[in-house]
Amino acid sequence: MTAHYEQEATLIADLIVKKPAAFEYLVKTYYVTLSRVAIAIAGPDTAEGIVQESWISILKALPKFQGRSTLKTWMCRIVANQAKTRIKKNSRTENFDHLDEDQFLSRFKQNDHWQEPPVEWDFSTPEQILEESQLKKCIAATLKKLTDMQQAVFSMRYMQNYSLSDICNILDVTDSNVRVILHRSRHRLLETIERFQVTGEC
Amino acid sequence: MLSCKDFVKQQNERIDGVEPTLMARMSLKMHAFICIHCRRYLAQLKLVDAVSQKIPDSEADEQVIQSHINGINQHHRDQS
Repeated sequence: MTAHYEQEATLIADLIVKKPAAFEYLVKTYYVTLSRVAIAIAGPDTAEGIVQESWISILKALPKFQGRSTLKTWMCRIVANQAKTRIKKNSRTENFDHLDEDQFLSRFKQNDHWQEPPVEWDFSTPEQILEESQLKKCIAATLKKLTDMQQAVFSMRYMQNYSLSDICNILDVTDSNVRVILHRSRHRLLETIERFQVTGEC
Repeated sequence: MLSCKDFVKQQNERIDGVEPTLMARMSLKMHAFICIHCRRYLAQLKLVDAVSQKIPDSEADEQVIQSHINGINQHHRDQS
């Protein structure tokens, strides 16, 4: 069974003395987030290798970790730096097409008032939405369709509770671009729920 | 008067922590008072925001996790 660490300081101390249970906890707890950061910056083909290399860099640098940020944020920065180094080597450039105008905004007339106003929903709480198993699947499918960068921003913000400024620093994206990504992602979800409300399907 | 499109943009900014000025806040309030569509949009936007906070993050494949743990262990064996 995997050990559970309530205190970050205890985890760090165990990692420094190379306790296998601490490595296991580290990988199980942070792999998904670190992997998303690597994919967002360097693409899915090289992300696995980047994360694998990063564990070693993280463990080597850990004795110098000063706790100015959380361990999670500090590790994300290490992965992001490795990923950036890798894309420089491979001359990969991030595709920022996803920062075009939000499609949702086409629901407005030329005078900027609603052309296609929102449809009334039967749902009024998050629980009602997530208890509807088909809708939950539709939401998961919508999130999967987001670009790698959008998925990273969305999950860091909503699932991992990163601040906007940490997301900007880690992923090297401007504050306004992060907000555009979040607006667009929320609108995709809103339209998914709306479609389900109207058609009963994704 | 504030347009519906601006209402949508500003409410999204607000969700992301950009606090509107007092004037802008009053104008948003006034707009929501007179526009049923924007009132509905705002309720739905808040609901989407709340749902997003409750969606569990995806879990990694057990084999992938194990290969990463093995990689670290191998590195330590090579070092010692």
